[in-house]
Amino acid sequence: MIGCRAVLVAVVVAIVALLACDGAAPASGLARVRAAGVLRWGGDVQGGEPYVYGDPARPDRLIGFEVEIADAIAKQLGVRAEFVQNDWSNLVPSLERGSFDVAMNGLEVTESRVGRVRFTRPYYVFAARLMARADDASILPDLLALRGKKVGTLANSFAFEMLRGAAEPVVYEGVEEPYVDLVHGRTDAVLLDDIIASRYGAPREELRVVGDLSEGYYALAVRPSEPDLAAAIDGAIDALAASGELRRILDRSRLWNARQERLVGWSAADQTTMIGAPPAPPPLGTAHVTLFLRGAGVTLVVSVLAMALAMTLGLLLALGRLYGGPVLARLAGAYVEVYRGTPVLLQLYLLYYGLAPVLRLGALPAAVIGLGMNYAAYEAEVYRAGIQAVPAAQLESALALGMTTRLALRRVVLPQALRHAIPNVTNDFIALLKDSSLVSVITVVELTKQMTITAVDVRSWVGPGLLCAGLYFAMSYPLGAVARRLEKKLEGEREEEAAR
Amino acid sequence: MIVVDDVKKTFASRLVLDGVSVRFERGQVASLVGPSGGGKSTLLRCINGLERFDSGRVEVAGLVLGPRQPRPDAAERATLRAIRLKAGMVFQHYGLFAHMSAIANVMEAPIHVRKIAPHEARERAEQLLDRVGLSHRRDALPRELSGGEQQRVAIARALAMDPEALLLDEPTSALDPERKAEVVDVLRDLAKAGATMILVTHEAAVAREIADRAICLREGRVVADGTPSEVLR
Repeated sequence: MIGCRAVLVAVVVAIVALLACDGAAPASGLARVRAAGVLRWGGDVQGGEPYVYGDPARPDRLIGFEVEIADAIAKQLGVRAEFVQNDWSNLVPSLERGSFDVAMNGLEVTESRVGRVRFTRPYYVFAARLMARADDASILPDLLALRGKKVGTLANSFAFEMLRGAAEPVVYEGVEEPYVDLVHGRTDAVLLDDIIASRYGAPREELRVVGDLSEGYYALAVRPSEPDLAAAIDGAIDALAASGELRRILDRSRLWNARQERLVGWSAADQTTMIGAPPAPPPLGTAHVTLFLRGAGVTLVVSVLAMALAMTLGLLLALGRLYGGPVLARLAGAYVEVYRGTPVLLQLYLLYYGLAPVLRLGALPAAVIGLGMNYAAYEAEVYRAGIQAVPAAQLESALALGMTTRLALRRVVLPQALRHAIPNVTNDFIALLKDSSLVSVITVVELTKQMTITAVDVRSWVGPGLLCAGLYFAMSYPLGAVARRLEKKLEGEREEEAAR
Repeated sequence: MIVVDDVKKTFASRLVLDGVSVRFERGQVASLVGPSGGGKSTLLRCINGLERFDSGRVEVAGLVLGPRQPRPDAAERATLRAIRLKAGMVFQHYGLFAHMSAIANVMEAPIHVRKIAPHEARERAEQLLDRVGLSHRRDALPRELSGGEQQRVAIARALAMDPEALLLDEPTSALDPERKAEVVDVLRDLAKAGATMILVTHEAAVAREIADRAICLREGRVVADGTPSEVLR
């Protein structure tokens, strides 16, 4: 007890100390970077060519135009640049918590980001490029004409903010998948930055460029508390633009074009126009709660349907394994091993993108089938254990009464086996409820995805995070209580039986 | 009526039945006795196909069962089921369906195997529970019944299928003396009513009380066959 209290006190002291640090006068970011001799910049190599990516000749070495820009900026500051790998969608939160000094990875200057970070002057002017299938003439280069169309894009991107309210955005986490799905007809168009479009969309014969809908800027994001670092980087980019170094770097990646002329002689007025007046972040309101409830609904529907599939298929697998004869038993066994031995994320990817050329599942059916087939492997083992827990004498006395094996299983063995299995099945359902957040990789916007989208909108993770956690808890706690009660009841029956 | 003809069975390279031939008559109550490991339970289980033998044949009410085949075909499985309907079985540890009440245990096979209408099956089950003295326990689950009660329900369950013979595998050996007497009473009443029974027991007293014939098995062979008083000295 005393130990507990001591730990508690230590934790409280630590939190207070942290808060105190946070509230201190803005530290000089530039001085820190100079003292360390290194400018740590965050990005995601998954964004691929031409941003930051592994050198094909030497995969352990990173290349890309952003690597060159980072090196050039660092050189101007008299330090060296060091890359820090970070999931793209979390670059801003990671910057805020101090994982690196600056974030740079095709980070577009968007309204919601302007409210959270201090952007430097831009190093690239991009166009939001709309692509459609070559044989689909109905897509026009007009945002308003996209109403009701499914348009693929990246979550929380500039294009995503444009599409919201104008079309039906379908959000992806990678740059290749939106074009794959467009080819397969799962979406009507894709709106993404010109760099991505020209690298991943344009090479596909089945697609055509519809046009550029808008322009925007890539800039480095710096913590607002370190304006001196931002100013120094502004100066460095200015110098690179003036000396022609920036143009040489962009040229090497074939990125220089007429749009980029603007980067030379960039003025303070240009910067003010680019940043705009950051709107106050909308408070977490009833509109958000409605969206969260809808997300929770998607989570619940996906989970319930996936669990129904998992239970049915799992039962068949367990029966096949125990009573199916050598061939079926081996097949069922292999199914269980393969599905338990590989990540469900990979299975979802293969089902949705890998099988797309032959089987074009919608995102929701793919989510249900993918999760259901994965959990079926676990349910099969739960049922198998349940069936094996039924004494052999039960089957034998059923057979002695002239029952066929099938009838004996149905009337005698399974009803008892399933009772044994109920607590585990319920626990698996709770796990599935939470695993269902993985289906966001195949564009299903469920509760967790809704949380990350809202977190960017309101520029805070705390409110949306708590709301999201509360909804998960509200769904899983009653189930857990049911599972515990059933478990206790079975336990009691077993003891009663053993006592005789 | 039940004929066992030169049945041999090895179990894990041990000869359990070494050419057993016996004939059981209708209306006879025969007891299989002898030391444990002598093969009496195995012989009983071979008669209704719960255990398969290596050579010889078994005939139950005209249905013939041959040695084990690598993969039993549909016809053989049908024969097995038909034999099990003719020869009901009662186990040492009762084997009542744990998730069903006493009366549901008795009604289960008549409804789902014989396809008898549920209300008829219930009527008959009530009669049978009454016959074994348990009509007041009809809604109890097996775990709420004593061992003797469970065994009497198991006998009622076997009788509900109207078998031509009852095979009883050590039906009293898991019970304390008082419970044993309940079960022996039921079996004696059945014997008096002319039921055909084959009873495996290692208890001479039970064999003497119920059976009119005793067959002694030792090391897989019939070593004695006669009245209980002759065989059980």
